[in-house]
Amino acid sequence: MTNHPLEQAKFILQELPCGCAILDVSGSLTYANPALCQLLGSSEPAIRGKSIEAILTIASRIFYQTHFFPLLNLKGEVSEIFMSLKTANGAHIPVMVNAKMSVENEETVYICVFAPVWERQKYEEQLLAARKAQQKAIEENEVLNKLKAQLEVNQYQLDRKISILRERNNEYLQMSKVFMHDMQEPVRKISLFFDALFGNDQPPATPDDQRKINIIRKSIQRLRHMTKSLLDFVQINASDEKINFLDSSLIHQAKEEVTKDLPEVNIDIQITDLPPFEGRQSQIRRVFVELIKNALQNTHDERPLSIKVAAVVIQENVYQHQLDKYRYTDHVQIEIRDNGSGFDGQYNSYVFGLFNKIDARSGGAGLGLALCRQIISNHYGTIKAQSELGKGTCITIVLPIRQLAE
Amino acid sequence: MDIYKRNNVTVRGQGVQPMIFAHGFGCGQHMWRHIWPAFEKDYKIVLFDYVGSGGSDNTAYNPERYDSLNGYAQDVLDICNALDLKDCVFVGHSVSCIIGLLASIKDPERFSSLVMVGPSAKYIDEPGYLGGFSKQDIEELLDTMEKNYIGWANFLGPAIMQNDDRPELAEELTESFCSTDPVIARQFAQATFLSDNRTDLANAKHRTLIMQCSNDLIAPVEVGEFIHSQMPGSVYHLMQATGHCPHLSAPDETIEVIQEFLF
Repeated sequence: MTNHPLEQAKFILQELPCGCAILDVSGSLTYANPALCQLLGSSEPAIRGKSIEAILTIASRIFYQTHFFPLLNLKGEVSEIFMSLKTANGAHIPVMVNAKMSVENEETVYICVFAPVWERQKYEEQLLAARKAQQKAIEENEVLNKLKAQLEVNQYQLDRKISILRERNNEYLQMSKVFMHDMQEPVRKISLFFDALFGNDQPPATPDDQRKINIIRKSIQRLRHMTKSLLDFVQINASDEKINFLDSSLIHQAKEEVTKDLPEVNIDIQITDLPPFEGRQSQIRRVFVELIKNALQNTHDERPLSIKVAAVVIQENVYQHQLDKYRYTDHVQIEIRDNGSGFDGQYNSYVFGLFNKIDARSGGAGLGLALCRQIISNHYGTIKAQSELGKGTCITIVLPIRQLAE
Repeated sequence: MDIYKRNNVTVRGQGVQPMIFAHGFGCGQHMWRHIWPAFEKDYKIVLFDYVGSGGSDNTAYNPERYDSLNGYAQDVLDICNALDLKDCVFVGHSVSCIIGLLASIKDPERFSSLVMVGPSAKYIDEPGYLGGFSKQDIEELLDTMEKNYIGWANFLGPAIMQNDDRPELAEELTESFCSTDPVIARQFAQATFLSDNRTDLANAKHRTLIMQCSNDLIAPVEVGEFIHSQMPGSVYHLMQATGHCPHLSAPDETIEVIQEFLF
């Protein structure tokens, strides 16, 4: 052995009691010392030029790409990283890796040392197993206690809410029915006697009187229409229709229902296949009827109405009101897009309110979208509108594919 | 809920159209440090960390929510909502490609195009599909990660303590660069590597760039080609860069390819 420092350094590198390798920026091995070659059961020429990944197990390759390399690149060095080397004959060697970034002849290189940790690995495995068991026990206990407390609170609140809701719902239903029937009677009477007084056989007194009569007649009609719609709105809630699997034939039925009394109307509806989803058939059909009617009422002056219906399956959280509760299940997201006159985007949520109308002159009572929202929320879904004035409206409905908890 | 704090949101740049950069599994927003400066003149740059990663608020972590990629997609949508973002360019790395895709399907108006760096729709092989890994490989990965947290405690510890005397922001952010909570990292790894989003690809509604690295072990060329074949109207670009992190190893090429797609 010589005393020359450079020779000595070379000697140390050759005899180093741990693996040592140099990588270039692309991760290729430009040097491997004898200890590393011996560990890998390979020779320096066989290893040189290969990617570092070639001497790692698959798991360690992932870890190299997701953690080791980004960290080395950012910090300039990493230490005490556990990885597994893969030898020429496929055996795994647990090693501890230290690495640093350096510059050699103006090129960035990474210098790595690998120390096998056969014994240490056994201790660590035992340590980890013990810690895992302990952690699991603690967590389970914690989770259970937390769940128990939460469950009690939830049950209590749920029970109160159910009783209040049930009571309210009954009252609401009864009140509405009484209200509606009782209201219909006076309206009917006003209409009857109004016609008796100012029927067609009576000549109008003056043009001004005729105008007043017309206004009263229109108002009576409107009142009738509104009471009927409201009754509808209340009754759809109360129906106990069975849940079935539904598909896109529903939309065709809805289209026919809307157009059957309007032979001159031609609506172009394009429907991509809907994935089957559960729902109450007549109610969901009603949603499409209302949406098509709406589109028809808001057709753009310059182009015939065209409606595109598309659907995709997405995963949504089934919990809509409980914060911090998550369970993602398959939902169908249906988009009903028309090329109609649209409305200002600021009314996107306003249009779903009861009796809310953007255009006071339009024919409807302002109940259609409110009814849709009612039906969709009864199916644990959501509905929203996105519209652009002059371009059209897109209604997006998200419904769980299964109505009952799986 | 303060989304800025929860997701460690950083907004930069002089542009109007938002450009969101979403990091992959194992790291945080600092993965993008070589890339976003090239776009700050033309875009509003939005950087963030998923809950449980980087400098996010770990107390907001919810094991139910982040059990699948849907919870992570909700993070993206929450940020879009909080910042009122529309027509975003979404740049995702690795698992974030699918996270961004899920978000863009749920709320299309928020997005204008997707840039996928090293995407995969399913990591585990099955008959007729090559993902690159077996289930056992993933089990071993979880094991490797776990063993490294023993080392990491030592190796991150002193550096964090140093911070008390030198509380520079940059230094602190460096320390929060990679995932440090073993329980969260394990669940993220599982949500990532056990995911299967092949059927979601066809539902894509936006222009998409697929950036495929040569020789990428985590997302092999076959996977990139599969994604391209399933996504109508996607643009496929095979990069010269190797490995899984072209934004670190070949930032210039990465920037160039994204610019070519956007401008």
